[in-house]
Amino acid sequence: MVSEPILEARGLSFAYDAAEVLREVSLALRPGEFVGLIGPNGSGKSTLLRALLGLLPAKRGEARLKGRKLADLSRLEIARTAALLPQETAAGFAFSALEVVAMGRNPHLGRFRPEGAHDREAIQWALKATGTEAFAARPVTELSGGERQRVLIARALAQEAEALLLDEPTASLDVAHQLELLKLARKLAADGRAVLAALHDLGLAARFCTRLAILSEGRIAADGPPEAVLTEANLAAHFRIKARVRREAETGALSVLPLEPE
Amino acid sequence: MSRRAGAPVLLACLLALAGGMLFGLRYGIVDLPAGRIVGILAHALGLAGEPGGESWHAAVLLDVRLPRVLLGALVGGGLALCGAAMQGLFRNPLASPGVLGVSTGAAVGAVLALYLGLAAQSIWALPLLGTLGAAVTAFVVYGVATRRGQTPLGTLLLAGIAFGSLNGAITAFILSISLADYRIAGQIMYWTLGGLDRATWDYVKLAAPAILLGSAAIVYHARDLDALLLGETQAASVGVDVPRVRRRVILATALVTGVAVSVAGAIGFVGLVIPHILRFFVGPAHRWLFPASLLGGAAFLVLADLFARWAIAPEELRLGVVTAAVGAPFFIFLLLRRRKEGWW
Repeated sequence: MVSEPILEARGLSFAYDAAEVLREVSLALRPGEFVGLIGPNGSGKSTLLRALLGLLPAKRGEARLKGRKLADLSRLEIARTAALLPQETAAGFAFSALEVVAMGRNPHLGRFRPEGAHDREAIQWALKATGTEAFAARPVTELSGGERQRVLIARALAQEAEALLLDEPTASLDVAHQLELLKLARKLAADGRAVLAALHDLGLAARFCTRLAILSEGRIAADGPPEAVLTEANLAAHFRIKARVRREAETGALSVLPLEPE
Repeated sequence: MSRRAGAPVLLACLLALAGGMLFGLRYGIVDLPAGRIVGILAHALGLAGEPGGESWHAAVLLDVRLPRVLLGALVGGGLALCGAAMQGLFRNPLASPGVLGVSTGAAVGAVLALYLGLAAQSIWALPLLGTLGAAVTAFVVYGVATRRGQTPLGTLLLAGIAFGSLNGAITAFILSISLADYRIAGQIMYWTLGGLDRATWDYVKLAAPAILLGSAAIVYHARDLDALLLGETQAASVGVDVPRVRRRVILATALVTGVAVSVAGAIGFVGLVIPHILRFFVGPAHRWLFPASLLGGAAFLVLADLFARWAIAPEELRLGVVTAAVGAPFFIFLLLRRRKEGWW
């Protein structure tokens, strides 16, 4: 029997003014899952992640967090269960990396309570998991783009949320750190959390995610195990590429070789 | 130099404030020894019997100097705190308490009170009209920048600049039509230059609740503003209700700034630069920056006022002139020294 979803969209539609960006999206995220959200540019991936955190008002349908409607929850209640790593970041102020990661504890601390032993543990764990301890004391303004990205990932981890939403978390990372992050996400899922990540590298998504969902023109066009989703027909229909999909002997996972734009 | 010297900097600001207030109470046309000040204050609080000596000393201390240093501390602390809050909210180092046009709104109200002669009739007319001008400007700016519940920061900033210019034009217009009456024009010019010489207990009673309440509301949101510095979505992810926090902080800032400008005139520099200087020492985290700005801004204005009273005694320099003249070179000095490291 499948477990109850932590986070779920039911027939969710959202529009910026007249332009409908999400159309009747239904997607469930359960504990133990690492779902890769894939789709071409402008298909609505970032919008969906933001809507799943309750940041955008649904035009139709609804999103639920552990069975409760997002619209009925306060931001603080949402933040204790779900964390989002957005693409947008302003890093103009010289907070130390440690201070940024510590902000992940805010939803658990309220306004003035100082960090306790458990908060410090969570922060240390997040720093370690992202390999950012070495520059914890340095101002984020002095870090490279990839280092800063890892600090922000640590911020989301320190939140200890059951559902983790990551918007292109690998975008500015080098290959080694991409692999480490995806392994970490898979391990978090294996430990009982739920991870939903918008990803661009289809091969890495196929290898690390337990499930893939294609978002195309605001609709979920396919949703299932990588083998069922990452087909040459789907790549042609939704990514407009002619591609070869095959199983790699070394990883046991699918790989995608893009040949031509259609 | 350490970027994270929160506690020592707070202590230094507190000592500077205490010292500035003591000097402010002590020196003037007549110098009152510290023991005499304590005696008069203790008597006023009902803690001690009638102090000996000249009875008008008590009047000078209690009715002239005490409200003046208290008002200076309130205005300086309030303006610096508002500057820190606006710079954080807008993620912009050039933001100041007046960024939403509230200072110029207060000026319109104050100048109108002077022009219509209301200020001569009632001591309350100028600060009340000033505060009203600030509040009206804040709500109009916020309303213009808000569409369907969304208030983009860029639009808010531009609307603030636009209404600030409009208010400036209104102030200049009132000044120009009042030039015929030299007395009124003089009063307007005098007010525009900023000063604490009007300070009375009435002003303190008007300013203290408004500034303390607004400041408390700003300090209450310190953690939210920290998170907002990382971006709005980042802040939302850690539980910050961004539109609500923004509304509250803007409202609190409008209240504090409007009242401060109404009672003390246009005092430049404090709100813009004091938070920058302090951020350099305590870092960007608002749990340190806010108390440091309150104490540091209060200390700076009390000391600047002391200088304004002392420099060409028995005449007084205008406080707005002193704050800019003392503060700007110091700021430029820091800027040149720290240029390489970057300010933030």
